Amino acid sequence: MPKADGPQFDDLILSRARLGIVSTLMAGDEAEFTFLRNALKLSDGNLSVQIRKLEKAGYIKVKKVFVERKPKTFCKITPKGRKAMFGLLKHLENLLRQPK
Amino acid sequence: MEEELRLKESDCDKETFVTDDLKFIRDMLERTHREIDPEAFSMIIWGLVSMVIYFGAYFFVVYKIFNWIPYVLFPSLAVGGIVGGFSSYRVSKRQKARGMVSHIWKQLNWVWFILLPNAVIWSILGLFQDYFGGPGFLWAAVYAIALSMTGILYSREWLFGGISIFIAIIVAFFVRPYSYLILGAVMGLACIIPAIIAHRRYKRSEAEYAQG
Repeated sequence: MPKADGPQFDDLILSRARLGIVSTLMAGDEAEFTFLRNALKLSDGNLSVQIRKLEKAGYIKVKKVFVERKPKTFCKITPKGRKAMFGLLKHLENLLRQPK
Repeated sequence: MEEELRLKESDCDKETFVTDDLKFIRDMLERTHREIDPEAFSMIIWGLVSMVIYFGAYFFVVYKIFNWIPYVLFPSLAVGGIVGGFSSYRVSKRQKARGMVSHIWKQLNWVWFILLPNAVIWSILGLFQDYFGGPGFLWAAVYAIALSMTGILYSREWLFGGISIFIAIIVAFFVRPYSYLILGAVMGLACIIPAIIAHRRYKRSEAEYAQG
């Protein structure tokens, strides 16, 4: 939904935490919960909520695997998430280019 | 909501948050990029293997003891293959344990995985049919392409390595008696020097990450 005059933003990934998650996943193929938590300096609860929102929107996929007999949660960006991120980048660039 | 408030701000503030957002995205991308293990050990081994093979080939050709070539070539390739395979496996396990699996690392492995068997096939064909410079030049070209791809996808030191091999191929073609010496030296250094630089940078970023 458009929120302001001018280019539309993807509301879901505009939030700093979710933007951070998606940006990290854009650079890496898969990232683990602890890695994301440390990189983004978020609390466990907050990160879980943001991941769930992104997963619900179909922007990321979450899978639980055992690494060295320890359960780990890995997140992976989906093509839809990638597209949303590129869309957001384009909008941000357009906003910067707009004459004042 | 935070984002709604941000969008209602003045043009000047809007520009600031857009710039901030772009900087934040870039920082996150760079940070994740720094987490990629350069697999330096494997690259150093491949650099040394190519030096051994090319320098060996030069002396065998000069002293006309061609039957010695396979005794150096195949064990060296086997050492490179085993060390490279083991190193890739170790890096893949370490990436999982660290919590970040990089798609760039996967792509680079595919580049090498596709190019090397091609080089092997063309080298075997080259034994029966002489083409531009022979298998020595072909392997140099394969290294140059793979290193350039690594440079484009991962970090630019490798690109300089790839370009220096391309230049060495041209130079070596005109100074044929010393071509194997030139190619061996440049290929070895083009693998070893960027590997050391990338490894040091990776270790530094790991230490910074541990501190911060």
